[in-house]
Amino acid sequence: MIRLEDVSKRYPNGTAALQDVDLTIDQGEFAFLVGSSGAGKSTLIRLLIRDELPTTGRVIVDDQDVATLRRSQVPHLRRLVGVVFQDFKLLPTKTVTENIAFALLVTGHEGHVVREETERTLALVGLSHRRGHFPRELSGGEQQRVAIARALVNRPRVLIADEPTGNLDPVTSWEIIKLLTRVQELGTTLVMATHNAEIVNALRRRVIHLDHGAVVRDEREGLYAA
Amino acid sequence: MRRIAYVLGAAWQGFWRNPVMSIAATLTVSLMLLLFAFFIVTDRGLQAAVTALESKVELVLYLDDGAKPSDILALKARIENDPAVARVDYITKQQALDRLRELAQRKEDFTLADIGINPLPASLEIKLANAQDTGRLAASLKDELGRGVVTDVIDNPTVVEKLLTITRVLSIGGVAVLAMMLFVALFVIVNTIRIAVHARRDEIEIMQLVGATDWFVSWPFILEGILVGTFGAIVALAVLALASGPVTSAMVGFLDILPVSLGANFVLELVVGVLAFAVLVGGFGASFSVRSQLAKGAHA
Repeated sequence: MIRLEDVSKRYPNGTAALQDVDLTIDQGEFAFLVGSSGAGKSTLIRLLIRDELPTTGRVIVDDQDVATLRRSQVPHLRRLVGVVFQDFKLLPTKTVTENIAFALLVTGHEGHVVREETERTLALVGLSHRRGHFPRELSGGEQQRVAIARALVNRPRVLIADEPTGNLDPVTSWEIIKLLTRVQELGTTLVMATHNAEIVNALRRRVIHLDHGAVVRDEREGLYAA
Repeated sequence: MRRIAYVLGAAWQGFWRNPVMSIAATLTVSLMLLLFAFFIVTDRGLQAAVTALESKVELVLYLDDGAKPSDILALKARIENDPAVARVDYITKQQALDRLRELAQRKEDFTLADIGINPLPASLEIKLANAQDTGRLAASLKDELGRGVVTDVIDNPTVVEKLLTITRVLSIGGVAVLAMMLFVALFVIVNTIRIAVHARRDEIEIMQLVGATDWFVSWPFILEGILVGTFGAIVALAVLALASGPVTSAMVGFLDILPVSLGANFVLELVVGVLAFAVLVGGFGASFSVRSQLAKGAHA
């Protein structure tokens, strides 16, 4: 599903964010990206959604080299890869339903599809009872569930979560992790960057450890630290 | 259908999200369009005037009373051969006197005494195909003076030449002023849309993140620009409609010799022209603005 071949990323200011990274993540896999701040986790994620281009090497998502995509093809990549951030990125003037439906509206879906898929996803993340609320009326965990719903509503094949529990308390974090595991079990490839050792150690999934832009450890059922 | 409804709705909301800026942009566009329309109307009016005058323009050759008819006809034939000449009429002494009498009847303060002999000379009246050739032809005809046929060459091209000069100056000046106004209008539209894009940058970020196409992201803003243009055109056309009555009568009073009638076709052309120009300026300005903003925001 995801393949990085000899990928390096150097920013214009000279920072080498990634160096010679080779990685393959299969369809349906659950992979943690761990490493200290500045290790290159966010850069890797931005390469996958073509928010950045690699300086050298190839980034392949669903058999397409994302660097060679024409500008007009980028939206199709973005529909294939859903993203969730630490800061949720919800629209404050839209309700829960509207925030989720927005992703379908702006990708040109018909009204009945928007309604049905929004309902389905609301139920999946367990927020049907909060549909009419605005983000400021929700707890952090609920806001993150709305963000996950928005990322999932277009039925992406990959879900990328960049520190999804970074702003949440431990109990809420576990709720979010449970939701993400469920999404992965339903067949979506899941890549999650995190600093949360407890979660990584409890789940025993694949761990990709980045340090100074290089993969220093890649274990099938890994722990947060070696 | 859904997409079009979304884009239209977003454009309409965008216009009213920052009403002060939108209205300022609309009024700037109106002002530019008024100048544009004024320029077209004046240009058309002057062109009509020039055409009307050109058809009347004549060089007149006064003929010696003693000139032989055969010489006169030979001269007439020679002048008719000039490609710049449309028509040459031979006016006899008697016809000239008849005209004077007719004129006297129309003017109350002009009486014609019975003068016994006819003092008016016979003449050749030359109509030109193109008023700009008047000077050259008059110069060449002056060579005929003193050869016993032509006594005087009356060449009165001044009105036409002045009008042509005014038209030229207006064309150049009008284009220059219009270009400046166009620049100002574009600048205001580009800025209005830049502010609109900035106000909705979170929304745009999310749209791009979930895979909205550039078309979907840009069109609400481009339509907002077109909306500014269209409202500007409506304001400008309303002002024109209100002003056209008084202005036309003032113009007719001022240039009362001119049979300037622009007609219903012209009004339609003007409305369509002003609207099309406004839509183009609004759409182009907005599309330029949104493209540069999107290019700045994303590597995609």
